[in-house]
Amino acid sequence: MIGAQSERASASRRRYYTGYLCALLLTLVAFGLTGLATDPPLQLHLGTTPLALVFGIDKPAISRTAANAGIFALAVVQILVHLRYFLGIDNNVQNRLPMLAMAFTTLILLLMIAGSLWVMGDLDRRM
Amino acid sequence: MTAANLNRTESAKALGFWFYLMSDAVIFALLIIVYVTMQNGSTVEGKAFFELGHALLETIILLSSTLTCGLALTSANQQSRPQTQFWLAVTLVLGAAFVVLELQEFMRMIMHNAGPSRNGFLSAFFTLVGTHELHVSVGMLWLMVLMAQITAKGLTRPVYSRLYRWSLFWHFLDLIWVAIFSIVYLSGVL
Repeated sequence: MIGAQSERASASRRRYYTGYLCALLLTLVAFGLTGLATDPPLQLHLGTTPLALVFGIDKPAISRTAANAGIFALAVVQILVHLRYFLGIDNNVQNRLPMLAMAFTTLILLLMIAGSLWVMGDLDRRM
Repeated sequence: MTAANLNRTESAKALGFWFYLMSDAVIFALLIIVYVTMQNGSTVEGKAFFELGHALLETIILLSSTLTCGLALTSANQQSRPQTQFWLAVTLVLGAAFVVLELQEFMRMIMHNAGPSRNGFLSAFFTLVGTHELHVSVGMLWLMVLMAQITAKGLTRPVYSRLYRWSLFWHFLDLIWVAIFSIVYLSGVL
């Protein structure tokens, strides 16, 4: 009984650490991508030295559109990582209702986002 | 929400709390939509004020706090009171650091005449990021109450059940932050 419990605890710790490492990696890639696309690139500083000088980069290495697409994709993946590893939403039968609620919320969100873009875009064209 | 140790009533409570979180997600999505819409018409640009390094530090701090929150819940599952309190205290400190960093940014922007009353874009920025910060602050208050309850009552069933719902809230706030740092800060500095 105690053995099973501590086994379950170490499994759950492993789950949190896995999620943390995945999320950290995705975060660093997203910030790095953005740093390469800004002008001047890499506005991060190591002490007083801009990173751009460290790496010898003086102009954006990635286009704005590509960076935006990358940021969006990485954010979606990271949100899925958070749901899976931190909030514990997986294929388990217990999760059927939470997933249904989430699917409905996503539907509402899509309606609101698409609706807002439609209305505001239309207003923009009429201005 | 596969929580190992919840009975039927506790699972129902967790599901109810999950419904609240979903409605909160709708609020944040609306604030993000307003922000994105206002961004296009503004003469003030976010990139004049946003600092990538600052945003990265905040992100790593909040992400680490979500890890320590998970470790606290695992320790509570094992009925280890000192360990639970330790990880909860670390979570509280990290949450406080996040709020302080965010307030620093707000102060800096207000000092540079970029406060919420300047224009619609800045109002939207302060509302979106401020709402998230308010949620984190409420989460910290809730956490302090829970830590006091663990001290006074121990890790009883009701206390554990509350701790579980608080952990959902805390993880959820980090999930929202992923959307905020991607849309506001990363896209904002491009």
